[in-house]
Amino acid sequence: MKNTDLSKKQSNTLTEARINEELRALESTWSDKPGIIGWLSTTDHKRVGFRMVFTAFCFFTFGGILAGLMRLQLSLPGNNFLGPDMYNQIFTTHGSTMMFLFAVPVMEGMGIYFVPLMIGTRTLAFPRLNILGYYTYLFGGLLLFFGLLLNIGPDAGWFAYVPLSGPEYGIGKRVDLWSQMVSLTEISALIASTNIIVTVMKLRAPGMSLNRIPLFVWSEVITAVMVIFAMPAVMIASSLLSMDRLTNVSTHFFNQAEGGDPIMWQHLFWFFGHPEVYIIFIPATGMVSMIITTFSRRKTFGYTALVLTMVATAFIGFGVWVHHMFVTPLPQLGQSIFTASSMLIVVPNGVQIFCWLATLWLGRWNLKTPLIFILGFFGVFVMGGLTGVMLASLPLDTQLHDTYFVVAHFHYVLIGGAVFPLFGAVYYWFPKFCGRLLNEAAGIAHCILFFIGFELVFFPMHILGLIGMPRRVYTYLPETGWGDLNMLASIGAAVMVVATLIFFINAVYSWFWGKVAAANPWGADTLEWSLPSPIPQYAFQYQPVVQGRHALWEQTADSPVVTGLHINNREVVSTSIHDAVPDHRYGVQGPSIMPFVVSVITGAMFIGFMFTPWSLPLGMIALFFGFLGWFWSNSVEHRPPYAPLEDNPVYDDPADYKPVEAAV
Amino acid sequence: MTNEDFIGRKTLDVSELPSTMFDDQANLWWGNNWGLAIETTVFGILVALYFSVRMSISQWLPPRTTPGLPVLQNPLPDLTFPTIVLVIFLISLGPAIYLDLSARRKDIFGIKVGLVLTLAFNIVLLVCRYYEFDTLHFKWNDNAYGSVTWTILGMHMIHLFVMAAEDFYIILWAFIKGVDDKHRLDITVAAVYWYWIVATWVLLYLLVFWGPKIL
Repeated sequence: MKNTDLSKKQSNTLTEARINEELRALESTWSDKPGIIGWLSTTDHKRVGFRMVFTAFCFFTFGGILAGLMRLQLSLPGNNFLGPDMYNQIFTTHGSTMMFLFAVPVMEGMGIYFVPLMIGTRTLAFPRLNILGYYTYLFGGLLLFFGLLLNIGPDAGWFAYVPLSGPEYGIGKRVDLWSQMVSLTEISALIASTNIIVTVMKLRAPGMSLNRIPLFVWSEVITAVMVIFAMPAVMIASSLLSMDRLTNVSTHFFNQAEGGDPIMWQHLFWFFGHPEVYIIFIPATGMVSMIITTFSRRKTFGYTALVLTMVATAFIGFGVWVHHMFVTPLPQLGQSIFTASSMLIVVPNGVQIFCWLATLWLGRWNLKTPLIFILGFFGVFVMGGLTGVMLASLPLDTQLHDTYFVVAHFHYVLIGGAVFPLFGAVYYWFPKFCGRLLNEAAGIAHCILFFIGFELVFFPMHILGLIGMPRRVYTYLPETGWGDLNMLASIGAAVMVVATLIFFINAVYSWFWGKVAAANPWGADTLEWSLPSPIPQYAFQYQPVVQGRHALWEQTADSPVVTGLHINNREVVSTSIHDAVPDHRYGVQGPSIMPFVVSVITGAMFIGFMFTPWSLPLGMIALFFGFLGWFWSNSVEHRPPYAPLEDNPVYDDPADYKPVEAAV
Repeated sequence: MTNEDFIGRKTLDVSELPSTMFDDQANLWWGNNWGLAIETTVFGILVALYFSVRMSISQWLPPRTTPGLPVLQNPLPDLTFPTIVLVIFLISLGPAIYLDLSARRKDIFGIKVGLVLTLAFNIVLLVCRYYEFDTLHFKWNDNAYGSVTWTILGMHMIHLFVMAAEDFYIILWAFIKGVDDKHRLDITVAAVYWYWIVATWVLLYLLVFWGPKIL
């Protein structure tokens, strides 16, 4: 359809009778099946996204409890609250949980929930794949904690360096639990990413050209592209590690004696591991952009610059991984290049910060909890960025490698860069989840206490690192003089726990008894705010036509809406990649139990691979039947997508709804 | 928005738009391509691993000293059989392209013939792959070279399995239920997958079977 055709088609008007009829049909078309099977088989991106966010917050809590245990252990010198083995399991599980089971999935979950809404559509491009991704993530996470609870948790650190994690030193099945958890969660991340990219490319509401896509959506797309090129590295690495470890397979990828290379593990891991930091951080920058725009009550300053800085960060993020390996033998040219590229990444991040500051500077502030969290983000993240520049310098890094300085640095960037914006985003979008607002006073208390607690925990760690305290030691002697600062950090951890408890109590209370929210309580500009809170399953009663970059702020009262989609089939309008001109009607599949079945098989296959290589062929045979069922149900339930309007029972007189030629 | 907000609104009527599009206008085509981007990255990393193994082995190729097998001082992989297999791969493009075009033309007979032919090629190639492992002269657990070459061949073999399953599903559907628009799109997307499988194999063949000679 050409642009000129588009205006010709904007002709008909909607009558009340038609609206009511179509609404009734939409409600039944897009609703889930009832019962437990219906719950397991939902393809509603809002439900799946929410489950992902909720599950990630559960893992965040578990990971936080582990952090609290570590702080208890380290609060006094010579403490024997946790033994060395338990301590190893706990810090490994803490790191793995926070990176693989919290930070990445929670950002994906927010994307799965909000990206389709922000681009004005009703579904992700591949809704069944979406729920498959959720289950594989869940199984991976449960596997990790299953190990810890049985006292066979992984104990080689969250990056599981060989040979410590290899067959020679990594005893039992501990590291296998870790590697299978990694494989399962990365499958989930890859599925979510493919889904988000295609959705944003092809399912944007008419009129939402590339330069009108909300910044959060941009951030999710850029992140998804990073996931696609980064995650395979760790998936391969963990698969190769489990093949090296499995007795009947015993490959030699990381075995120096047979031509393997342990350093290669570090390359593979960090080729994923450093982009991972940006995979966590870039969606958070999207959240920052959304919140700052809304609460400054003005258009975003430097939209194009913000998009380009995210792209630049993503690109440069792939070229810095070796700075994690500065103490391995490297050619000097390599050292210089990776020092330079690590410092280079400051440039896009700096531009980003200044764009946000300019938006704030020029705006009229609406100082609510989400914005307060963003102010906290500035304080913490900028500091983490600065220590990042310090660590990019090779001589300093050699000195500080594996000390608490590094621990302080990455908690400043990860908690500052991702958790603060995330909390802000939860306060911001909470009304969309349940139709109620979170309590403001509790929110402010949460933010301030979290900030104070955070600084108390992690600021002293800089000093501890500088005076030589190594990371991953379960205790230290009183003569080291590290006791006071460690005690301070542990007190800070208690403050953080209190702050997080306030948040959880607030969330539970507000979910049921909070202030009822209007559709757009903050006066925000993106399309999800045009929907009622909470959002009905069909989301958009009529898909909108977008008229500007800040969709709701620039929308005219009589802006046209999309009609002519099947209302008895799940159908959305698919548009062209650049200009979002409608090109076809896209039918998607309804709910099915098959994704759950396939994910159970996948989980069983990966868990089985810890014990026998035969799980792979057996799993593939089972998957063959699983996917056959999936394919068949896909094809059967999905009615032939093209049916002339006359066949559609909802329309009494189809002639009413034929497009009328009229100028707009 | 409430119902009242929509009364009297102008509409953008999309009812006359088609419901299936091909290539870069189809969601499935893009989903498949991004999936292939993931798999290409996987092979890219395996190729990097191969070179890393090359760098850590000073005597290239390492002699085969597996207990129970004759010692081979210079165990280069066989070239004849893998090259024949490569030619079969290239020939298989013929039926795949024919199938692809038939799907676009809505030529039902062509689609059915193409589907059966591509599946037949696929199965032949799977059997060949099974014997191709022997031409490497190493087992996966002999040394890192054996590990990486077996993994490359095995990884590619998984794609052959997946493709065979996909073909089988579509054949089942086409012969039982007939060919509709949605499945015509599926066929063109599956064809892209097959082109990708052949293209990656050309590169991997050069690396795995010529690499030991040249590197």
